[in-house]
Amino acid sequence: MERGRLFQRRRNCRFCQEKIPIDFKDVGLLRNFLTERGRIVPRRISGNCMRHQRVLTVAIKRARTIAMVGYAEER
Amino acid sequence: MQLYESIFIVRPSLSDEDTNKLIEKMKGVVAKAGATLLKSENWGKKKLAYEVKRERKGTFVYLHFRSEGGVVSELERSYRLEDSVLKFLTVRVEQVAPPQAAPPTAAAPTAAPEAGEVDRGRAVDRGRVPVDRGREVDRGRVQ
Repeated sequence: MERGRLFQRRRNCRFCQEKIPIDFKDVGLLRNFLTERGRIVPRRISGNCMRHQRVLTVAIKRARTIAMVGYAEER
Repeated sequence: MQLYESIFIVRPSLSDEDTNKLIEKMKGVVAKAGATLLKSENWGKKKLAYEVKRERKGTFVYLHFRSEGGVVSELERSYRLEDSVLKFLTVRVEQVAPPQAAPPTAAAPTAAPEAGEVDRGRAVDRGRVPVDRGREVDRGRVQ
């Protein structure tokens, strides 16, 4: 377990690099940042920058509101 | 004048004809309230992420328009009156080049209908955190 962590490299923010807009309607994109259970992947794992993580969070929550993304996926 | 995006979900059991009629009606509401409709799309029947009013699927309709703020409340009132509208969401879109400093609107959606649902979702999630944290984190790695 500890070993895996040692070889983790610092990821860079995808949104900063690729300059893709974060849109709550783009379910495919949002799913990249959700766990199987429908939780938002934390920044320390996805490597997003603070600014984009914030925007992304809002987008995911909007998508949840309109039932495009679930609040909690059943096991 | 602001840009708005509005999405509403129509009951899937409604016939295509009635669905189109409803869409036209909503477009009419927007137009009559003095908005400029920029785009309207019918995304067709899609699966809902969770059950809404006993439905597992819904027809998604998307409207994009420019208007004053009052139009939104007018439009949402019409949504509420329609039994076949399952859910709706209207958000303000950031203008690309605002004349003044951009207001921090991204965090404040114009309308998050049924805010209670958002809270409920969070509470459920939080309750499960201790159960499967290690596993979840592992799986959650992106790319």
